[in-house]
Amino acid sequence: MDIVGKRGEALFRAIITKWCDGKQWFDDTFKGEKAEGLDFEVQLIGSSVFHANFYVQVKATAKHTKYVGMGNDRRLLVRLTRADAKKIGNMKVPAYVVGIDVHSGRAFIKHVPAGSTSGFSGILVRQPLNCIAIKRVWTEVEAFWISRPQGMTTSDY
Amino acid sequence: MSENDLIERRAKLLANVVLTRRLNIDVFSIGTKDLSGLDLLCALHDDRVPGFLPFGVILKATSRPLDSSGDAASLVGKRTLFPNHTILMPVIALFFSMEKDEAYFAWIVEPSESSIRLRHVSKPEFTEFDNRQLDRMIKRIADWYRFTSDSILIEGAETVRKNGTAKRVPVG
Repeated sequence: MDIVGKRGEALFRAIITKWCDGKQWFDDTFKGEKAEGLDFEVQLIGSSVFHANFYVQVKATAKHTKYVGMGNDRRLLVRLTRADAKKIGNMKVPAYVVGIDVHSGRAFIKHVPAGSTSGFSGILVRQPLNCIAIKRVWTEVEAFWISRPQGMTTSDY
Repeated sequence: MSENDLIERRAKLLANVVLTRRLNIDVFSIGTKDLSGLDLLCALHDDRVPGFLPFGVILKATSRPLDSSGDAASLVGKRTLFPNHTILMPVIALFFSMEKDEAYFAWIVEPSESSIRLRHVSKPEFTEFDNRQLDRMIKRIADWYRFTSDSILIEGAETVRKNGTAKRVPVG
């Protein structure tokens, strides 16, 4: 991995583990290149559900032109391919893409909904991964795992 | 995982983030601190001194807010940060607070500004680790390696040891 990718990874890990309201909300596990587009598994700390988690694909950029658009439409130029969107969407578990500007150290987050069939080419800068987002993501992922289907209840084994 | 474990782990992440701001430092984790006394080993890339220019990092972290470099110094207190063995390369200490991710910097093994000497610092003086301090640190380490490489590297000769005495002989 090049130095931009390494810094993007380090920035994501530092930001997602950021302390908000005096505590850490998430813990991360690097999945690596073998995880096919799922760079990180992130676990909720203090969840009522054992091992409540979500997945993240990190997109770091150090390009000269990193942003496009104005005002509310301003976006960080990072791309999720259609193939990756389909693969992640088919998992039907919480998943996000986090775009990182490696120069400023700012991160932005976008949900990849279950059943996604198309990718995207940018993340709105009005969706920064800050303490507000950290607490909201924790709450929505916790709610997902609390209300999840019962899962596989029978087996031949 | 205990809160202390989380803090220790996150301090390494924050060190990685602040040290790579100029995209010219590689950061490597050291598995066993017991052996080296270091938490991280870094390598600086500098156009003026090509090669692998290592320096060590000792990490400290707290959940309490650090409002000044004095806070960092007082939290370290009289505890020594210096490993109890000789390290022949620059070593820095970084002190982080989890509260606002503040970072403070101090030399532990400080390279001289004008020679190959290294000073072991018994009472570290912490300063805010902003971009200017990062640049000062990078320059000091690069300059020290330039002095050192000019002084100790030789070409066209090798050292042989015979009967306990070293003797330099020309290659070939």
